[in-house]
Amino acid sequence: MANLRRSTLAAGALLIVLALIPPIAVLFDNPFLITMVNRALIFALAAVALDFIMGYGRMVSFGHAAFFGLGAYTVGILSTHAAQDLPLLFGWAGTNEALLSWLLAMLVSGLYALIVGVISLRTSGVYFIMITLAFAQLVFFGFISLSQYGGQDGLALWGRNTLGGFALDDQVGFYYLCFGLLLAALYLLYRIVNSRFGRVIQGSRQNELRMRALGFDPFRYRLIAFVISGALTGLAGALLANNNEFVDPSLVSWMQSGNFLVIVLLGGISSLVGPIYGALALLLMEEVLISITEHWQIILGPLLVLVVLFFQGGIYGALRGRPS
Amino acid sequence: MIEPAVVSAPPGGAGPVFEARSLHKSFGGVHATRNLSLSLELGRVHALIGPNGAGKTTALAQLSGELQPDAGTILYRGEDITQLSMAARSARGIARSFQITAVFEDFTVRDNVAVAVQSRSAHHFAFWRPAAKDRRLIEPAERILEQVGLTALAGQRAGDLSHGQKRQLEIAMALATEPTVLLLDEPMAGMGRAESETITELLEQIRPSHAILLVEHDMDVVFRLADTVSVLVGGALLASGTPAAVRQDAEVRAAYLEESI
Repeated sequence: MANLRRSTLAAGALLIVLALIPPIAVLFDNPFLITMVNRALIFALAAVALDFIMGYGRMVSFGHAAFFGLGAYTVGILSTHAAQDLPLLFGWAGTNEALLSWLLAMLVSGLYALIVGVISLRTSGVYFIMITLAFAQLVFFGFISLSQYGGQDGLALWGRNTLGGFALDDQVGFYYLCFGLLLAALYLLYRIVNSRFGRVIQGSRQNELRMRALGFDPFRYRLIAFVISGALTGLAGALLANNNEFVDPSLVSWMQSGNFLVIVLLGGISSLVGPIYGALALLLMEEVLISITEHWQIILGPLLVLVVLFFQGGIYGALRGRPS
Repeated sequence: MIEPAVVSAPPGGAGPVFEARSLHKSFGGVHATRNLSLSLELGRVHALIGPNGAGKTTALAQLSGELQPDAGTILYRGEDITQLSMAARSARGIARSFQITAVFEDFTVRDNVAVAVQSRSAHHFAFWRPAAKDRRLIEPAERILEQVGLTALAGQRAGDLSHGQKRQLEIAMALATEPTVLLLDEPMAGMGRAESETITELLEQIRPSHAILLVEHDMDVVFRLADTVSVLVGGALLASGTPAAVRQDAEVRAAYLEESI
């Protein structure tokens, strides 16, 4: 009970700090802080979505960058067409409206997740990892060959989306929008994990044969969870496209998929809130280490090994303390 | 919506509700099941005994749908269910317990049974309401926990139970699916005497509305509960009959009982 309270307190403190980042940045006249943490929030959203299927359903996806990239490119392509008034589909010239554009980003990622899930969820373990990776590589090379949208060089947006007519150019406003969406996703997934549906997902992780003997077919449940996770990761991609005002195939690279896995493991798997710590820690470390050496990953690598060896619950687990 | 247990009326005659006909199963060159036929009737306990490696668990795996027989037919209330998956059989009211304990270790004892209760409801795709506060799951779960004698441990993590307690939970989960046919694979293995007594009494109590197949090593329990005893040796039935008849069977004594008792 005391352990539970400690982790809740820590999560509460974290969210308060995140809410206070913009005023702090203004106070210290350091707008870069907002940009950096904003980036972490977006990565956290994708990682929380990954933790949902990986931590609770043991679906270790090594292809989450594909959802991320599809979401980002959906926004990028739609806004490019809108800016140039170029017909995209059936004479429709895209849109720069966030509500529509982000919803479509989630739809595209979700549909892609449905296709990948139908095939990959027939397998598990290493095979699942490899199939999700293979599909992501397909998407990666697909975007590289999309020369009308910049190919390898990527695609610069003409500006951020508008939300109900208002531009999202204000960094503080955009920060709180991302923060709000992260909180909403966190709450949504928390409810799902503890619902009847979530019970089936978690039970299938612990003992699939038993679940079948009880009359459940885990496949359908996993597929739905996979699609939810994919759509939320697509939303994160849509946010990143706005944040960077630029999309390129590196968003879909397998290293990006690896980043999401690292964030989940570093922050604490099966905790939902853990990946937020993970995303902040990883991006902070990147900033700090990169100022020491450009080969900063040489330091990051061993650090991650140590975390996985000694803190299996990641940062979340360390904050919670040892379960009694 | 509360969905009451669908209690099917017992079939008109006293005929078998569950029947296996001439099952065969081999793995490579090993004949694990040879020409196995057996039937289960409502209100009756059919015990399946035999030495280790006789193929009892393999037989049970075919009856429950975990394994497909190479040949033979399995009937439930006259319907051919040989091709049905384990999940589909469970949905029709055929439950099994596992010889190797299979509980959800990270869930509480109560939640283990609640998941089993949930399998009987049409509301698996409920994404929002917390299952832990769902009275339609918890109340039936707690009733069953009381039946099997686990009420005091309801809030414990299932992984922390003793082996015997996990066996009790295993049976609670099978019961929570409201089955007609119960396929129990050594339910008493590893239980203490008091726990074993609780479960024996429970089986006595639920017997009238169930058709039970009992794979069990404890001969006291077998001869106390069983209406029919079948002896499996080398994948084939050596003998089948009333407990008294089987006890007297010279072949059975030679093959099995003498050495095991």
